[in-house]
Amino acid sequence: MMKRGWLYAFRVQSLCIVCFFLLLVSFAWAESDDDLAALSLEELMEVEVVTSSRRAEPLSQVAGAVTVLDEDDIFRSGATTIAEALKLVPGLHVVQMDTDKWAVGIRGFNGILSNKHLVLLDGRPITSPTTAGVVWGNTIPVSMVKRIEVVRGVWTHLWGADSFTGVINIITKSAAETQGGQSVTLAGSTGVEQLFRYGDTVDDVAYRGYFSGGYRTGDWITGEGDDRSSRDWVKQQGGFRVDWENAFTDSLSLQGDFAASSINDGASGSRKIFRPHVRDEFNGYGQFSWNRATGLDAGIGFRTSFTRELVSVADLTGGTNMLDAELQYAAEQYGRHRLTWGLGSRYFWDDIESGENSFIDKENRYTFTSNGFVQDRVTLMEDSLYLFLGGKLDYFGQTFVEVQPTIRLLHTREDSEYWLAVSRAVRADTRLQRSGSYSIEHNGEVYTVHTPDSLTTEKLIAYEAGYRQRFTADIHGDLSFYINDYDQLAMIEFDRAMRTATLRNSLEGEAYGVEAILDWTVNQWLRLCPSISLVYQDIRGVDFLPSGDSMPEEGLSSEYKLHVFTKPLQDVGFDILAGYSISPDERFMPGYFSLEAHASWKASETLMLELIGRNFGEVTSQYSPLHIGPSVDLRMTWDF
Amino acid sequence: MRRVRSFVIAVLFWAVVLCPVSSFAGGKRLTATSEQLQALYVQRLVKYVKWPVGTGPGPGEPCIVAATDAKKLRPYFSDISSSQFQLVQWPADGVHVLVVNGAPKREAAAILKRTATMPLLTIGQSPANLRQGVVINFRMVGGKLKLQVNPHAADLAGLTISSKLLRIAAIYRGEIDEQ
Repeated sequence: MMKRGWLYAFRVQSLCIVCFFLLLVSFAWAESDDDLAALSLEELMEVEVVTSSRRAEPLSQVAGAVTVLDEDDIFRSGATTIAEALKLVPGLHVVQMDTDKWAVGIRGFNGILSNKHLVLLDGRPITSPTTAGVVWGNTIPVSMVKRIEVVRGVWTHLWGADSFTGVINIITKSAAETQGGQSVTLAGSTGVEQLFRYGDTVDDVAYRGYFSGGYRTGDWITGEGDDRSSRDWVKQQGGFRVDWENAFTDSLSLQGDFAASSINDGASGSRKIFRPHVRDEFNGYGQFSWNRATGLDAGIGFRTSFTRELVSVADLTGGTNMLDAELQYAAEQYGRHRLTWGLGSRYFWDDIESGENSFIDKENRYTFTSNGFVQDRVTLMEDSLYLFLGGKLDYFGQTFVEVQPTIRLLHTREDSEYWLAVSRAVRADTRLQRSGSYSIEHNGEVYTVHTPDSLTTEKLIAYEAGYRQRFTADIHGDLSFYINDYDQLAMIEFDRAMRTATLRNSLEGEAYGVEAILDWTVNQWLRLCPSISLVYQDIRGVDFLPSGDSMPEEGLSSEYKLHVFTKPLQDVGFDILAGYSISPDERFMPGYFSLEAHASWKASETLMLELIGRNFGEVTSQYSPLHIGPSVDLRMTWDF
Repeated sequence: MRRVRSFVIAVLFWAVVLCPVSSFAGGKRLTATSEQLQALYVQRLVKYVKWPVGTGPGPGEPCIVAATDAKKLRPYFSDISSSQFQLVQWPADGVHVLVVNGAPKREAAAILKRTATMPLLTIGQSPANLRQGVVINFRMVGGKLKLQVNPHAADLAGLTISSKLLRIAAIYRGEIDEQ
């Protein structure tokens, strides 16, 4: 009996094993390429095409540390301003300093007038030549943004001296991508905001226009003692874009925007610069661009723009004007070489009036700058090893011409990329640093800062390396290292006896940093993106500790972030951003935890509802004396 | 117990024997990725095209196929003898076939404008490519990849398309098909 039972079990198990292998063989046979290879032309027409979306997409093929935020990333961050969307990028220090002020820095520099990187909006520089800051609150509505490319590290060989530590390139949606009507309403504990947009096409010309208005209370930001947040921020903004794509090789685009705002500035976001007053600001621009494709990855591009800004910094007020133009030519691959070159110039003039506490030597100043760059990508081994040689000449409208060269190496494999770079960069002084004087507060005392008209350029030699790996189709990693060797950085030297201070090129030192990012799509409804950014700075003044806005300080600073993107239901999303940050330039400011949440529900094909929560972590200073408290807003987007 | 055993054996038998047999018997459902099919088409299409004298692949010479994104097609050319086909990245010299895959619309237009009168079998994969002047275009119909031929573009390039290919492919008639 026992023997029969054993025999039966043996037969069943054998049958199972045979079945398993037969199934395996049958599936293998079903997928065999040999079947396809034998098919005739007519038979190929009957083969069903299966999606290859799980196929690994190419890595970035850039010899540098680059992060691209697409429309979905920006949406799921719950950002209501562009500065908030930038929090997703490791290595970028993004903090809210006040109701309408954000400090955004790259690799160790972080201040409202963070003057070491370049910000572009559709190719037009929006970094102010006066202060080197960006008025983040007045840039462009987030719903207009298609993509944000962030380049960390030195890329002055392409973008020039403004891009000392990196470039933030904001690309807006084309008119064709914003057709029809859209209403975006935001309401909650921070205030209210309403945007209307409409786009259409006439023949092959697409156009769109938008207008938005908003009011922010500033109530969720508090201070201690005399410190208070800026209140009653009223903002109007509008713009248009017309695109003509002739379906052949050319595209033409005309666009313009304006933003006007008024705020009761509490001047506590940065005591070093601002004074309490009602601050009115206006900026507007018009831009024309033409692009012609001449081949694969090849073409000519021309862009020109005029920008007018009415600004007030400290108690200096006035208007600045900038007219710029640039031409770029990218040649098609020729043998081993792919050459790109470009020319650009900028004419800048202003009329700034001195105030009670601030003085500017020349109230009208005219500056002409120009530049030229060339880059050659040399293919050393096909599809595998590339050498980049490039350089840019910058003429700053004074006496000197600066050379900013780079050499980069990129090795690509099926699932990984390795890159190395050595670059030299310079940074010219700003209008505010050039001549005059202004008052700032330092250690509880008010100092008058004198800005000589003789500052030289700040200098940097950067050594960078990086590694990108696709571990599986769902797990990607990105690691970058850098050593920045600074020389002649501008800093403020204080004379305590005289209560005066002078701006000098007296700072030098090194920064050592690492940035690591992992992007893991766990399953269809869960994606995790942890990242770490560490920078150790050894910065020395000749006699003093570094001081001044956005000065790097000695010591280790770090940022740890975890983004959790979930989609529990088809039309429902829930996303969390948790982080811990230690400031790179406010050594005595403690680190802080942050927690932000975003819930979305696509109620219908035309209606999207979002709940946006910010600063659910501890109520703490984010590198400024003010405390950023929690806030909850509801956003409704209706397409019609 | 015996009934359970019988049921298990019946299910296994169905899974192993009947299931594959039925699928083979009823005509096996062949599938491929878009890139794989494009590569297979390219390898066959050259037999149905005649180049002007002295410009096509000579006897015993490989057919040079360039692609604007050669990397995507490379896995499907790796098993093909290099004496038959050679896949290269565009731009390249001495090319017989150009596959416009993955190039942005305006860049594709610039390439096709430049190559319009060259003895090149140009192959595209979008209606825009067809308007821009490719000789053969891939068109997705009901989840299958079909062919469209542009006789005017073939004339410009000096290519002769075989009657068999003209019979099994859809003929593009310019603006008439656009309407």
